[in-house]
Amino acid sequence: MRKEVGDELQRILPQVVKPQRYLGGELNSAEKDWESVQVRYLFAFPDVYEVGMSHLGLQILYGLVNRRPDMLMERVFAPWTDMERFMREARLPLFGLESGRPMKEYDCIGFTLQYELSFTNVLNMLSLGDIPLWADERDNTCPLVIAGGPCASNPEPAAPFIDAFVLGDGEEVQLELLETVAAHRRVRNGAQDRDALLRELAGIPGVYVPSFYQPEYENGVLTRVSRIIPEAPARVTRRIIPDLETAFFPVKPLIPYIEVVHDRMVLELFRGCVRGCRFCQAGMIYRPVRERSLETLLGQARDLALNTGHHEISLTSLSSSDYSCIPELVKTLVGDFEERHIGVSLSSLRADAFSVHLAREIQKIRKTGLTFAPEAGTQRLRDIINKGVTEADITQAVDAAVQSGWRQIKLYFMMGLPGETMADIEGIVQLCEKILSEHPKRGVRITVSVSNFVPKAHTPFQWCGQDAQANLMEKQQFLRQKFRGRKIVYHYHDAATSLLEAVFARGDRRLAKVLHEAWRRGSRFDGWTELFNWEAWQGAFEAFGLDPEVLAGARFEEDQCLPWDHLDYGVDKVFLREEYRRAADGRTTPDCRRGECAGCGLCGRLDTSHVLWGAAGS
Amino acid sequence: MILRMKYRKTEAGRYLSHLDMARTIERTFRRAELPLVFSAGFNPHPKISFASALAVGVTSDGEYLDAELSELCRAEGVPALADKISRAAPKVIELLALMEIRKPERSLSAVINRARYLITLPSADPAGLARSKAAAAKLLEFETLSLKQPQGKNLRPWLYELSISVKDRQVVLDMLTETGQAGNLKPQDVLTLLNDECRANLDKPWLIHREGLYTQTGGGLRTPMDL
Ligand code: SF4
Repeated sequence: MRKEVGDELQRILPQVVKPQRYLGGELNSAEKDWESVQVRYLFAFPDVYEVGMSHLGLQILYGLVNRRPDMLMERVFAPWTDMERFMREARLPLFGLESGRPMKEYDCIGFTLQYELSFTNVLNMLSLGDIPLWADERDNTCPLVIAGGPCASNPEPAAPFIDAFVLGDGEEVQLELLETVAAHRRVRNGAQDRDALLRELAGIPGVYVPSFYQPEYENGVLTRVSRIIPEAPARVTRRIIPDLETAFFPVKPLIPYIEVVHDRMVLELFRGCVRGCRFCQAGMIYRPVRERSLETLLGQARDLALNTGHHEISLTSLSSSDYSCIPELVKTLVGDFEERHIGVSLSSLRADAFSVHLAREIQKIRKTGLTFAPEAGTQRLRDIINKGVTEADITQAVDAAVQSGWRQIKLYFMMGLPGETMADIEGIVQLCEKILSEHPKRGVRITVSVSNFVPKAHTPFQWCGQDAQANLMEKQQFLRQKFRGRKIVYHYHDAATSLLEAVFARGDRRLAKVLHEAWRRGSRFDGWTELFNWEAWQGAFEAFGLDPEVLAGARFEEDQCLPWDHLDYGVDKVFLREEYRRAADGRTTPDCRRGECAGCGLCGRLDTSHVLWGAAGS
Repeated sequence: MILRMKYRKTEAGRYLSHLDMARTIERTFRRAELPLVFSAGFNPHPKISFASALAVGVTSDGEYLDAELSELCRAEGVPALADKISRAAPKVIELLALMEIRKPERSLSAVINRARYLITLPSADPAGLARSKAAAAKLLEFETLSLKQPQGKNLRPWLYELSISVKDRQVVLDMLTETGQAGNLKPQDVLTLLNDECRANLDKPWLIHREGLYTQTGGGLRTPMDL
C-alpha cells in the first residue's frame, strides 16, 4: 500500500468501525506489479466489504483477471458513513485495497449492480474517487467506468453515469473488454481517446454503450431507443457461457479475516433456472440451465477445502435441489467432509419432500430451521405466478421436516402479486394454520416473511404496475393482526423501499437526474434500514415534479416501447407476453428442462441448450 | 498430542479482533491439514485454547496457544508440522516457535499473569518528552489509581513497571501489567491515567504492541515456552 495512504489510514482507522474493511491483505489477494501489466482494473462493489466479499461473482472475476500476467484487478467497496466522513475531511480519495492507489489511476472501474438500492452508492463511490459522475463530463484522463450484474438488464436509470454495461455472463466478455482497453492504450502510448474506445467497445458482443443510444419520447412516453452510430448493434445481446465445465472457477478464493455475510466455501452447481416463475427475473435472464458435472464439483470441493480452511460448504444455484446429480453430490460431500467437521449447506430448497430428504442428509443436527418459499397463499395465485408448488407439496415437505426433527419452519411469501385478492392474503394465514393444526403436539414454530412484489424487466410481469403503497400497508396490517398472539412470527418489508426498487427496476433514463438529486441530498446505502432516507428521495422526486407511486404503479401497454427493449436477454418478448396472458387465465407452463420446450426462443436464437448430467433432481 | 505455539500478530493484522484471529488460526491449521481434535457435543469445535485475547488495534510478538491434534501426526515430527503451519499462514500471523507439551494441569490462560506492552506515540518535542517522563514517574508514586471516580477499582497494584524512552526517533512507552484471571490492566487505561492524573498530554494515535505474555514465578518472568 502507498505510504501517503498508509499514513493517513493509520490516523483514521482507529476511529472507524471495522477498520479491516479498508485494508485487504487477505490470503490469496493479488499484489501485482502495477508497471508490468497492460491494464489495471478496479472492481467496485457498491456496498460494504462484508456484503461484497460474500459475492461469488467477485471471486470469479478476481481469479480470472489476476491469473493473466498482463492484467491486474483490485477491489474497492463502499466505505461506511464514518469512513466517508474522515475521507472527505482528509481529502483522501477512494482507493483500491491492494495497492492503495486512488480510483482515478486505474484504467477501468467496474461496478456490479446487484440491487437497485445500491445505485446511490455507485454515485457516491465515483464522487469519493474524484471521478465526474456523469459519463459525458469525463475526459480522456478519466478511467473507463463499466457496470454489470442483474440490474444491467434494465440499466437505463443509471445509464448516464456509466460508460459501458456488460450484459450476461461476465467470464469471457470481461477479458475481451479489458484486452480492448489494453490494446487501445498500447497503440496510444498509454493514453486514451474516449470516443474511439467506446466505439471499439460497442463492437464487442454483450457490451452496451448507452451514449450511443438515444431514447425518444412523445408526450412524456418513451417511444423508441435507437442507436446513433452504425457500429453499435440495434439490440445488444447478452453473453452466455454455454458450458460451465470448462469455465473458470475460483478454487483459491480470497479469504476475509473479518466475518462476512457468507463465511464459507461456495460450489456453483449450475447457472440458470427454467422453472418459469413469472415474477422471477433470474429465471428469465440466466437461461438456459447449465450444470457442472458431479466429478467437476467434487474436485472443486476438495480443492476449496484444502485452499480455504473453511468449515462449511454451500451448494448454491437458483434452485439447488433441481441439480440432476444432487443425491450423489450431497452423499459424497457429507461422507468426505464428516471427519473434518465440514458442514454442507443447501441454498434455495424447493418446497417438497425430496428437498427435505436432502436437507436431512446434510443436517444431522437440526440446528437451523428449514426455509420454503410457496410465494403465494392459494393455489389459484400460485398458478398465476407459475410457482409449480402445490399445497400437497408444501404440507408434505413440512410433514417430512417435522418427522425428521425440525421444529422451526420459515415460509416466504410475496404480496401485491398480479391478480391477487384479499382471499390470497388470507390464504397465507390459512396455510400457516393448517400446518400448525396438523402438528399440534410437536411444538412447531413458523416464521412467515412476506415481501412486496416488485415487477422486473424481462419477466412476464414486466407490464404490470406495483401494488399501491396503501394496499400493501393494509395487507401488512391485516396479516399482523391475524398472526398476533399465534405461534407464528411475522416479518414484512418496508413498503417505501420496495416502491423505490419498483421505480428503478422498470425506470427509464429520465430517472438518472432523480438518482443524482437523491444522492446529493444525502441518500446512500438505501438497502440499509438504518440509513434509508425517504425524505431525501421524496425531495428528489418532487424537485422534478415526479411521483414515485405513479412511476412504480404504471402499467405498460402491450405495444408500448419498454426502456430495455434494445437489450436482448434471449427470451422473446412475444413469449413473455404469452406467459402474461396465460397468467391471467391461471394456466401454468411446465419446466422445459426435460419436458417440452416452452418456446421462449432462447435456445434457438442464441444457439445454446440445457446441459444436464444426471437424471435426478426434485 | 498437544502442541504449544508461539506466534506474532503482525502489523497487517492490527485491526483484527480475538475472534477474527481465532478463526484465522483454525483455517490456517485446516489448510495445513493438521488433524485437529474436536470437542464432543452438538457444536463440535477444534480444541484450541489461547493464552489471552488480544484486543482490536493491538499487535503482538508473543501470543500463545495450545492445540490438540490426533496422535496420527506425531510421526511427522514438530519441525515438519511447524513448516506446514508457516506455509499455510496468512500475513497477519507468523509462527515463532512450536513444541510438543504434556497435557498441562492448568490451561494456558490460567497460568498467564503478566503482559508487557510497548506503545509508540506520535513523536514529541523535547518538552513533550520531558513532560511524559515526569508524568510516568509521578504515576508510579500514586498508591491508588482508578478510572472511575470516586470509588473505582484500584489499578495501581497491577502496574509493575512503566518507563518512557526514545527509540528510532519515536517515543515509546514500556509497561508491565497484570493480565489474566487475577486481574487485567489494559494499556489504554494506563495511557488515560497518564493524561488524566498526570497531565501527560499524550497525543493519539497510540500504537499498542504486546511484547509478550509471562508467568511471574519466584524466579522471575517466564514465557509459556519455558514452563
Ligand atoms: S428455448 Fe425452450 S428449452 Fe430453451 S429455455 Fe426457452 S423454453 Fe426452455
